[in-house]
Amino acid sequence: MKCSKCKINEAKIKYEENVNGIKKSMDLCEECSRNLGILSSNIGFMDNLLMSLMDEPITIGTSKTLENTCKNCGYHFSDYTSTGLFGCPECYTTFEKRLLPMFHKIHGTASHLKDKNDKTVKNGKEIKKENTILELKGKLMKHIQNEEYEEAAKLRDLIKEKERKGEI
Amino acid sequence: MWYYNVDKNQIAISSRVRIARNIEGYKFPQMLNDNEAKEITEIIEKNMNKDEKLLKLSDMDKLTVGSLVERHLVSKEYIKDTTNKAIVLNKDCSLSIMINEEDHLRIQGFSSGLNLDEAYKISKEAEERINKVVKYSEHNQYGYLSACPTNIGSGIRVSVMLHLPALTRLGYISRLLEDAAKIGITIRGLYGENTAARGNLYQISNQKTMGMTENEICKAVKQITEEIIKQEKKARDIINAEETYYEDKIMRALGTLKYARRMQTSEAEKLLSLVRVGIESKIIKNIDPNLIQKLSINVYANNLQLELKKEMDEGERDIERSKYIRRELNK
Repeated sequence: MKCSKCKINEAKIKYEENVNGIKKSMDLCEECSRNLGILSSNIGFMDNLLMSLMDEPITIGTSKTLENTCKNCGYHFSDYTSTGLFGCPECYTTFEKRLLPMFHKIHGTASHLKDKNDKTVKNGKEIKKENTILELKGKLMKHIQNEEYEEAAKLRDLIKEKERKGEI
Repeated sequence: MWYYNVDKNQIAISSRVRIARNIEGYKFPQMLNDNEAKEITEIIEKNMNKDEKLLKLSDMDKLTVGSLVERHLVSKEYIKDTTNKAIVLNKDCSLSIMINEEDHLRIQGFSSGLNLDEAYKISKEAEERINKVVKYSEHNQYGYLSACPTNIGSGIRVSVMLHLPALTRLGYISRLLEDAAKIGITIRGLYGENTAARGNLYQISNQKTMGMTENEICKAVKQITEEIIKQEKKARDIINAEETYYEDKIMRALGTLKYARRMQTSEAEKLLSLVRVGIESKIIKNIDPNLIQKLSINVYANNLQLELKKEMDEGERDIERSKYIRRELNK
């Protein structure tokens, strides 16, 4: 998506504001958001890193929707993008959808592997199942973000089929 | 103290294993109120071994706090705000638990040289001991949860500090960085400043914490480190071929350290690095490598003031630093 202001650069930031009930939304590139004062000019290394890990534009703005807020600690997803830290363990469930593609980028996987001597270890089959399902869901999410709906629908059906057969 | 020991022929200075854990039922540290943060500290305080002590950062003077960073026992970020921060140290400081850092617990085990097994054992023992009284925050898919998603899964960061003057001089470091990144290993200059390492010291560590077991991560970092050590040795051989050139540089460094009247930290770092190479390549024979290691730690601002037991401004420090180095080397 191109920046709605300069119409040249790729939009990295979704700016939303809600002033007295009047909603306004803009998709902006880094430069324009800085010029408009939405993004502070001394944006640090961490922000850049986080932006590059994010598949969808970061939402910055004054409207905090319920979906974007952790019920346990009140943390908003934009708090994460500005600090690089989550507020509580519950945040991982609240923001799960956004996190899966990021996990794949950082760790190349979205599933933890324990040592054999660890008592709560899962057997290999279980781990494999989880890996496959996470992988497929991660891919599905990417298709949706890239607006490749045809591919996404195919994948969704495949996941359903596999789940029905108990393969994953 | 573990960090004063170094082996004569080792390129690896020290090994560290850091395990990040959070206690179930609590928000992550940055969201805790005062009471909750104190509760976390109390839980740990009640479950310490006999030879361990808990130190509250707010009770310490500035020099001691700064010195903790210079000795790599805590991170730079950790001391920015000392409220509700406390560390547990054992007798020889080979165990350091940072309480209320980014995560509730950052359990670190240290060892000199390339000895990740030992460092892992130290940190893992403490991690398991605490786990007997509290449950760690865990997700059935993602593993151990951390405030930062780059640390989730095993929550383990394994690192080795290496002294790589020859690879640096031959300009191989940037290539090494690229190759390592491909296999999920990070190499960075010490004190985290870009890649331009001070004193030719680098830190090798795992980038990913998820999808590999704790043991696998330790093994991977160890293998890479061994490979880098091999390359450094080869690079030293190449440089040694131009022996007099290098020998001259090393002996000049030693001469400056022995006779200079003013010295900044950066200069001391550079010269001590050269002397270290001199000892490792047997050009210098009568200096104990442990002395160089001790000097390399104590030339930093906070450590120097603690060692000399007096507060000084920058100008005074430059004079006292050179005096201190002279005295130690001419003993």
